[in-house]
Order: sequence, then structure tokens, then C-alpha cells
Amino acid sequence: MTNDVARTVSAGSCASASESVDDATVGKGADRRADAGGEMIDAATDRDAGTGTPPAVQRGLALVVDDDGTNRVILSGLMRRLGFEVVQATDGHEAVSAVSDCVPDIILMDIMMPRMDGYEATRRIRGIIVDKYVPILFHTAIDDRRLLVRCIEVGGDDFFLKPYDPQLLEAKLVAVQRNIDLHGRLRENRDELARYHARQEADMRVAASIYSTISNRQSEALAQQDVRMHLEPVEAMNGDLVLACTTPNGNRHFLVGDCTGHGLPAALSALKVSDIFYAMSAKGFAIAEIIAELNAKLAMVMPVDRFFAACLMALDHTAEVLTIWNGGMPDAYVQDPEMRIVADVRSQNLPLGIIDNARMDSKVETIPIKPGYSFFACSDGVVEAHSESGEMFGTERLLRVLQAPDSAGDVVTRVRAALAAHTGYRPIHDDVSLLHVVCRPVTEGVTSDDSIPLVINKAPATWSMRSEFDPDAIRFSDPLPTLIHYVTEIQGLQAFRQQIYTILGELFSNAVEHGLLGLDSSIKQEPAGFLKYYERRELGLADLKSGSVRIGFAHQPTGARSGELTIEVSHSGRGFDPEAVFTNLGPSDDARRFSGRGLTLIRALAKSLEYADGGCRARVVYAWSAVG
Amino acid sequence: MELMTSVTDDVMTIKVSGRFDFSGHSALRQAYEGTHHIRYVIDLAGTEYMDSAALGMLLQLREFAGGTMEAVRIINASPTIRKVLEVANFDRLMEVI
Repeated sequence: MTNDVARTVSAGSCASASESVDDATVGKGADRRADAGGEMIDAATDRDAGTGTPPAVQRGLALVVDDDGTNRVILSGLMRRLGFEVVQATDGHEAVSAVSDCVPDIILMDIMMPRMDGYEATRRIRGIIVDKYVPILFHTAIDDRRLLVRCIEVGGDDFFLKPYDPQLLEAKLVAVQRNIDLHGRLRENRDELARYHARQEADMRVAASIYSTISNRQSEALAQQDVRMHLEPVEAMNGDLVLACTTPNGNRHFLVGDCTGHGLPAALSALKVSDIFYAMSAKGFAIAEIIAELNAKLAMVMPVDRFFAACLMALDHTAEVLTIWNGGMPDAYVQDPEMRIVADVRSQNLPLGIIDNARMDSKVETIPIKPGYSFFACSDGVVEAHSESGEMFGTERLLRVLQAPDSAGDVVTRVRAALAAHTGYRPIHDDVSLLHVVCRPVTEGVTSDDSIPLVINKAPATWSMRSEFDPDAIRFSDPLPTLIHYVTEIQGLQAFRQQIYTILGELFSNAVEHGLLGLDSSIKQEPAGFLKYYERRELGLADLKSGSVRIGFAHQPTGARSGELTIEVSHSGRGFDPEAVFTNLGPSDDARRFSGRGLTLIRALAKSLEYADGGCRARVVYAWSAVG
Repeated sequence: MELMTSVTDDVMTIKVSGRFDFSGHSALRQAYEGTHHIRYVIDLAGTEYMDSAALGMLLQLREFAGGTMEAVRIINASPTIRKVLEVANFDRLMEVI
């Protein structure tokens, strides 16, 4: 036997790379031409190819199964000429064990063989190879239709008859190769898809953890009794966001938003939004400033086709004012205690992150409220929820639920129940987020506490600071958050931040509104006076040419863990009699509703409050002490 | 979502049929990418639904077309779709007629 037939089934392992090279070399070498079978096939293939050189490409491993030595020689030679490396087996049994050792790329299978025939071998081989497409071509001398049909039935792919027609065999191999290639591509795609899916799932886990971080932060503010919210995501990582927090002066900030897209990109935007919202709210910035910052940051980091629709609300229990900004969200509603809608705040603005701040309008709407009033905001998934017949839930249905005279149960639960009934309890197509907040009386909001347990790591010290603000500074920025930040940082008074902020806020707006602008609080008594007052304030500020507000802080220790902070706010405008301005408003309760609460509040929080210089200078002493 | 484009002079008109959502993202991009028309008209006569991803796709087209108010024009929007555009105040970014 020559080299060609010397290689029978190699027990153990697959042909190694070096063996392949050897084999190829042998195939091209003179030894091979000396072999009778080889010469015959050479002649045939050379005729077909028109060249004397066999293909150098390695097309894979062929298993040639035949009990007849001459047939093995002829087929092996032919397969080598076609670029295959060849392993041989002399019967079905050997073929099965060859496949168990090393899975070939193609199998040429004889039918009639001793020990185990080609059918049984094929059946077993199909059981062994599960993850790879290995074509099996039967070859036989018997031209019996039944036998040939059975070849296909047991798992064969094709058959050819002896004596071999090299041209026909090669044509069949080309067809088989197409199938192999196709199968390989499919498998690559499948693997790629599996990898992609795994990555996607990893991304989703990241997004989920981002969302749980965000919702953990908001849970405290949302857990309060006056707030009801609900997030019903289509998938765990939707673009919907409901945020709530309390500002240093005791106001409540809320955000209901909807980021384009789902998954990780939406989660990252949500993270950015919540970071800015919480950080700026905690420092006492107003929502107009938060909106400007959100817009600038989102426009900077988000791709052109991504944006963030949002409705931001600030609830000021003290001034009994709700300020709202709506950019791209469905209408938000303010309701009185009888559930009548008193304001319908529609989107007047572009969503955040589309245009630059220069063209952005962060002007908020100001709505007077009283204790017992409530407001409601939701994402578009509510209005757009479809019934089985494709009908949208719609604004009218929502309004009916909100205004239902039978107001048993809270609003969020009622809207959800109506939604579920409308959609036939099917899964909803889009995210559904709801927020409902009931306004409390002011006394429940801020407490005068001189007994906050806290760790004081800065000994009470003696220090003072003074600042002065001209009209531009008052117009274009809110200096209070920064001032409060400094004051609380210097003395480590973070725990008293809310009280200090409330005091300073009242004194500062009195100085601006009554001192510099000369506004009369009694305007607020008129029916539409509240809005008129705020309009005049805005116009007055825009026209303000001169004048200034000075703010001074002075701190004195009164013990190892206590101190007194003196806050002085003065203005260069017309003096006013605080008692007259704030107390002689009129006999009705309504008159006092929109004003005058400020001074009462300061008196409740501070040790003393006095006015000097004809009402131009207010001085408050705030005493603090740490216990626990 | 199905797209049909037609071009007259400097204007490319893209008709969007069916649901205008993220599924048609690359199709819409392919429709206009590499073209250099002065104005792109999005015909929504056959559009039954539009989501925020579609709004994002319109922003992308607007950016591609030069980012001006005149670059993109929306026509034949149904009342429901008009409402979506209104809530997002897209009439400040493109002509909605």
C-alpha cells in the first residue's frame, strides 16, 4: 500500500496541523503519482480543472467509509484532489468510532459493509454530531430506488452511484459545500445573536440597578402621605421617571418625565436627570434654574434623536403657590378639594435636551393653591393606552375619573383601575406613570425644632459675612441657594438648613417685593389678584434699574454645642411697615391666605424678629443647639 | 412602517405608512442619507401611530437637513398625530401643516 491508503482510522485524535501539511505534501508529491489509483484520478481531475495542480486550499476533513480497498483509494484520492484531508474507515463500526474521535466535515458512506452497514452508521453518527452540519453522501453500486430513498431517510444528504463519475461527484460536492457554508453562517449568526443577547441582558441589569438606585433615593420623599405615585413600566428599564424631594426651605419638588427610548440609554439619561434634580433641589434652586441646567446637560450628552419630556412642579406650602413647567408631557391638572379642575397645565415647551438654553423657555406657570388642593401628572402611556378594539383611553376618560364625585380611594388607584378596565386587563403598550399630590396646611410642613439630633463636628465659632445684590443679580440669579450653602457649611448646620432657608427666603422676598418693587400685598385679595401680584412682580423686576439688597450673617457661640445665627436683610428701597403690610390686610380669612404667613412662620422658627430703619432692615436671631 | 419617497426639484417627499416608530429607524435614514435636497417633506397621510422614537427620528432628519425651521415640513398629520406633535411643541422646530 502506498501513502494514500496507509492512513486508516487514526485512533485517538484528529489529524493535527502538521499532519495536514504532510498530507498535502504527499498529495502533491511524486509518491502519489506513482500510485496506480492516484494516477487514474489525477488524470480525471486534471482534465476537469485544466491544470495539473491540485487545489492548495484546505477544505476540511473527509471521512471515506468503504469496505473495499480500491474504492477507498479512489475516493480518498479524489477528495484530496479537491482539497480535503482524508480519514478512512473500513466499515460502519469504524466510521462511528472515527466520528467519535474527531468530527469530520463530510462523510462518504458505503451502504453494504460487514459488521455495521451505512444506514446504521449514519443513524448513530447523526446521534453523535449535534452541533455541526456534516453532510453524508452515500455511494453504492446498487441502483435500487428503495435503498437510495432509505439513504435520505436515515439522515443522508445525497447519494452517487459506482462507478464514480468524478465530474458528477465534484458537482455534488460543490452543492454540499454550499450547504456547509450556509450552515456555518447560520451558526455564526446564531452565536453572534446569543452573545448579543447576553450583552443586552448585562446592559439591562446595569439599567435595572441604575433605576433601583434612583427609586431608592426618591422613596423617602414619595413615602409621605400626601404623595401617591405609580410607575408601571413596559419593561423594567423604561424611560419613565417620577422624582420627588424636599428643598431646604421645606418646598416640595416633583418631576414626572419620559425619556425617548428604553433600556440602558434611557437609564443613563434618567440617572443624569435625577442627579441634577436632587442636587439642585437640595441646594434650594428653583425649578426654572433646574430646568435650564437639565436642558443644557441633556442637550450636551444626548444624541440628536434623544430627548426628555418632563413636567416639573414645585409646591410651596408657605406661600400656597404651585409652580409648574411642562415640556412635552400630557396636561397636568390642579384640582380643588371638591375635585374641580382649577388649572390645566399643558405642554408649552419643547422637551428637554433638544435646543440650547439661549432658545429655551424655562418660564414657569404660577398657580395659587390652598390646603386640600391637589395636582396630578402622568406620562403619555395613560392617555394612549388602547382598548382591545384599539380605542385610546383619552383625555376625556381621564378627566372623568379625576373629577368623579364619588372620590372614594385615592386618585392614582382610581386611574389605574379605570385604565385596567379600559385595556381589558391586557399588558399596556407604553409606560404608565402617575403622580398625585395633595397640598397640606403649612403647619404640617415646617417645624421649629431646636432639638434635632445631629453630630456637630465643628465647634461653634464667631464669624460673619455680608453680601450685596444689585438688580441684575436679583433678576438673573437666585443668590439664596449659594448663600445658604456657605452658611450651613461654615458651621456644619446642615440639619438646620430648612429653617434657615425659610427665614432668609421670607426676608429676601419681602425686601425685593415690598422694599425695592413697592408691591402691595393687598392686591392678592382681589379675585384674580394672586396672578396679578406675580405678574407685577415680574414686570417690576424686569424694569428695576437701581437699588440693592444686602444680606448679612453673624454667628456667635452660646455653648459647646449651640449658637446663634443673626440674619440681617436690608434694602435700599422705600421703607414699609411690616406690621401694616402684613397684618392689616382686611377682615376676611382670604385676605390673610395669600400673605402674612411669612412673618408668622419666621416668629415660629426664630428667637426674635425685629424691623429697623423704617422697615428697611429686618433682623432675625436664630438659635440652634445640638442634642443627642 | 413603510416608506415611499419622491423627489421634485429641491424637495424630497417621504410618505410614511403604518406605525411610525423605531422599527423604521434605519429605513428612514437610508431614505435621506446621501441626498442634498433643500427641504424634506414628511407626509403622514398614511401614518396611524407615532411614538417618541419617531419624534427623535424627525429631529435627526432636521439636523441632517441643516437644522432650520424650513428644513423639514410635516404634512397630512391626523388629529391624533397632530396632538403628539403639539404636546412636544415640534411646531417650533419644523413646519406642521
